[in-house]
Amino acid sequence: MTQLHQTLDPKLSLLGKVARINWILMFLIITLSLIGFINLYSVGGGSFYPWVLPQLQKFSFGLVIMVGIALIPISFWQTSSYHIYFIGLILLVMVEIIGVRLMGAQRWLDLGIVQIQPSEIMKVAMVIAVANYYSQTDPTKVSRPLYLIFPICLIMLPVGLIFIQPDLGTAILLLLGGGIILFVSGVSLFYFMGVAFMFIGAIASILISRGTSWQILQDYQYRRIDTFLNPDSDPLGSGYQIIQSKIAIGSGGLTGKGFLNGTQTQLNFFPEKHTDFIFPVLAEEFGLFWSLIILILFFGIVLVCLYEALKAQDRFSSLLIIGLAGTFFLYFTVNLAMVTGLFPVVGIPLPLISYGGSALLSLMISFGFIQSAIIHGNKDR
Amino acid sequence: MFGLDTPIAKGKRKLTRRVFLLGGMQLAMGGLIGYRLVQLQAWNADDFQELAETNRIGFGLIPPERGLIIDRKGLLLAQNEQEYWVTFVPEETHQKRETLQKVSQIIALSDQEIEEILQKIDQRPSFIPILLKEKVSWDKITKLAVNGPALPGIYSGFGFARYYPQGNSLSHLIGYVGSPSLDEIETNSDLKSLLSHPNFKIGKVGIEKALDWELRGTPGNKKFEVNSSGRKGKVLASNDPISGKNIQLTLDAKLHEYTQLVLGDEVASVFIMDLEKGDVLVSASKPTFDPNLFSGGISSSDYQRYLENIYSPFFNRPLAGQYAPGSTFKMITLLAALESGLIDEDFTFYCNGSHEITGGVFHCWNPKGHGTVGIKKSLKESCDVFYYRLAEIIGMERIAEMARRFGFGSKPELPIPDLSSGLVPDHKWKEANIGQSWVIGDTMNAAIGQGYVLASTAQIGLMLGRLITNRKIMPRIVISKDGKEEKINEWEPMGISEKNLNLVLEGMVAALNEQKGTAYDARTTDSNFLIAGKTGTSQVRRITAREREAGVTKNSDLPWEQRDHAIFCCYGPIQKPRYVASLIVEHGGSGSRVAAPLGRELIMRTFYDALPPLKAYPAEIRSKIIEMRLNFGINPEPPKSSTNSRA
Repeated sequence: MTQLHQTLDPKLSLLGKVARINWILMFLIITLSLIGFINLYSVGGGSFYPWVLPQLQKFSFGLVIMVGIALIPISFWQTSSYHIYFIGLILLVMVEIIGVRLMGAQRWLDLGIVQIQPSEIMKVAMVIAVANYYSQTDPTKVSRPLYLIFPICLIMLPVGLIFIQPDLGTAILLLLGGGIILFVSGVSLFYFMGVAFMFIGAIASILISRGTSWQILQDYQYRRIDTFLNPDSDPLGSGYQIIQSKIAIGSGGLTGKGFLNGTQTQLNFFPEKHTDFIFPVLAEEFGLFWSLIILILFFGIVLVCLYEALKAQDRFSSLLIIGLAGTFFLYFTVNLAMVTGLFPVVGIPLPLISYGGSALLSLMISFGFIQSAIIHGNKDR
Repeated sequence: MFGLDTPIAKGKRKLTRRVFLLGGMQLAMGGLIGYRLVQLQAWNADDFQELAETNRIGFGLIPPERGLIIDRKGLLLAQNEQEYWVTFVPEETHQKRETLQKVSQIIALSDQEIEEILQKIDQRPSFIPILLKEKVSWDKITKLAVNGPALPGIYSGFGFARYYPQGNSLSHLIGYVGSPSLDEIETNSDLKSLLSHPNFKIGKVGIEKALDWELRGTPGNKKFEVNSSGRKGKVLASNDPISGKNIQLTLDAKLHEYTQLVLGDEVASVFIMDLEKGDVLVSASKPTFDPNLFSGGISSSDYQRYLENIYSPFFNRPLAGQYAPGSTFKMITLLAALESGLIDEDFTFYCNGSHEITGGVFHCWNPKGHGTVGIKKSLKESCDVFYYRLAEIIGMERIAEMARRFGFGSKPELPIPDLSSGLVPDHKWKEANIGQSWVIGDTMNAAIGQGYVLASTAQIGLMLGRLITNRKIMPRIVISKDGKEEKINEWEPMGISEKNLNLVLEGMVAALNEQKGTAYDARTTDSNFLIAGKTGTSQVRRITAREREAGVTKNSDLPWEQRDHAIFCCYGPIQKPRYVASLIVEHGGSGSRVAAPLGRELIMRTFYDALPPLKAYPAEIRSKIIEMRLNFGINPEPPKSSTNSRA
């Protein structure tokens, strides 16, 4: 029997599958979520409402979905990958046409029963599709320009659609997530350097275009750049969030102010503290020790995934795990860099900790695919 | 090793290398964030802790103080009083009902009020504070503060409440303020910024509504530091609010108060105007309501009580009411006839108590008849038959045209919402609205101010003002805004022959000052202030032929709501007319017995600007006047100095 045949052998008992689940990964996910619930309790002013109980429900639901996806053979997901991608793309186009405008951006799609955010679906679907492409492409030919056209289209179509919603943060993270798969697939480093130079050129033209007739970004996005570069220039205006966030984190010190005792948090000093700015709440009340533990837990998830990717015998499973774990990595690092003032404010929630159903669900689906790859991709050993 | 150089194996090796490279970069990023956390939380923690203690910033909107409203003499009609209020921010708790029930133990909210508040919460974004109660005592505010932790989302604040020191005597005209409704927020986009301020109020009725824009002012804002216990500290930046404009009205508050006193329990309306500049001195409506109940958010039981009152206390009768003007309309018919040239000053007609035409008999109010009636006598004794005859001669179009020139059928130009225009009927109107053609009987009814003709108390007063001045006089109600006097428009001439006008005025003088005049009993005897006028009785229900046979001939035999409206309009002094007054007592019965004495009382009070001297009343009724004053609890014989007339 060839290796490939073994990998795709569907004859694996349910018990066998459960035994193959990576329980360390599971433990890390649940631990981080528990810290998230404790934190939301504090954001709610010491109450299970309005954040903890709804989030707990969504998390339980997400857990079931995750296990469900994990138990389905990875070969099924591989054969469905382009279909899933195509459905995601159609939903994204529909958002453009009939989407619901919420907080100034058109991101939601009302399907009658539920409101969904197709960009969340696309975060997963795009990674699966690109991973599928590279698993079927001769690794020695991936750097040929002709072989690059299709995967770049796979990445740029959703990125473009999300960019015009407008949701700059998600668009950039999707682009970088796709780039990670290209990177590990072995695409020549010269391309990445080329893109890096183009990126610098683009940044330059974005800054130069400001105030001219061909201005590339929205005014509010320029203001975010300004406040990022110098938050103290406008402490009462748009720099307010960053300053208050840094004060919250910094004033937490080594040991924190104690649970429910964060003055910045409890006195309502920064907005969006249940979503994008949730980490400062934690850092303020629990201090540096726990901040670092959370950082380590996040990296624990990424490292476990990279380990499993290396261990996996089929290329699709490896690429899928790396792509999804890479997206996860991008989310939490960008968020943490943002709230600590290293990055500009781009509106990215902290995975597993921030309040929000749509992002949580897509995250749990990602982990479902990762677990499926772990269960079925390593079957022969 | 075998298979080392296959594409798959090459790919796998490259993937492994790249994964290590990627992992390395990711860990570097993690190291950077970890380093940043150590930097913030360990090395710079002291600085940030100090900032957290002191450098916290809050934002606040400062609502502007609403402009004051004063009367012509400077008495305050609407002012602002300091108050405490309690608000609720719904997003801060999921147990909204429980919280409201807990708070109601302190500030007494009824179950119904709690339901209304919960309803409001559903309609608005949940971060917007909702006003629970205003005018809360300091006592209760401290109790709320003590129970703070058990009452999430409950806040107290401090601001201004509208107060109307004159109470209910001018409430229809001044109106009141209230929280903006959702509709009002939709239509006033400028309100949205103030929406988050719980006790911001806008004018709902009357002058408060009509001049709301100017009374409101412009809000300021401030940014301030807040210390770690949540207390407000140093103000960092602020823009002061700009108070609304102070508005002086032409109204006389004391005169209004006296008007309300004199009207007693009647359902009535009074309009008094100074002809010098067209100033409205009185525009009073009875019964009335207390506007102060509204400024703190009226309780539903109080509101219900007003709504259930069959006399409609919210109705602004002098301006929005519509009544058949009755015999006060005869001046219009007479002037239309004189101006048409179809009759001259010597025209007479014989009245035997009724006037017969093909198709019906039209009765005079006096069944015995008035004998031969000339122009002066027609007004003095208010002979209906004379006017039936005029109607036959001149026709409806001439009467309607004259009525419109005198302001009937159109709204007076006043900054008051809900003015009525009344109605001047004609052929076209009847066909369009009733679907029948105009008949001669309609003209006869209109000629004596009955039938389809409708007018407000103010319109009757305005007509009289135009008769006297021969100009298209317009009433005004605002003297100045922030001390800047309003421009007074020149009044166009009416272009009516002075001779004809004088004939009409002579008839009105006779009605009060000659024996057998319909309002002779309501005359004055001070030669400096003699008055002239015209009574009217507006038929609410015709006495049927059967009732007439059964002996019901007197109005007072009918139930209250079927009795006639009593109307009177007058001016004075007759040598140099300065003031006009008009009033309607709903279902008061006879104009001459009920309305005329009230009219005299009020126009005299206006002229003397004090309690009228007893010598101004006919000798035979002075004892009755003394009795009335004693009933009101006022000194019946005022000291000499107060008998000076208005400057």
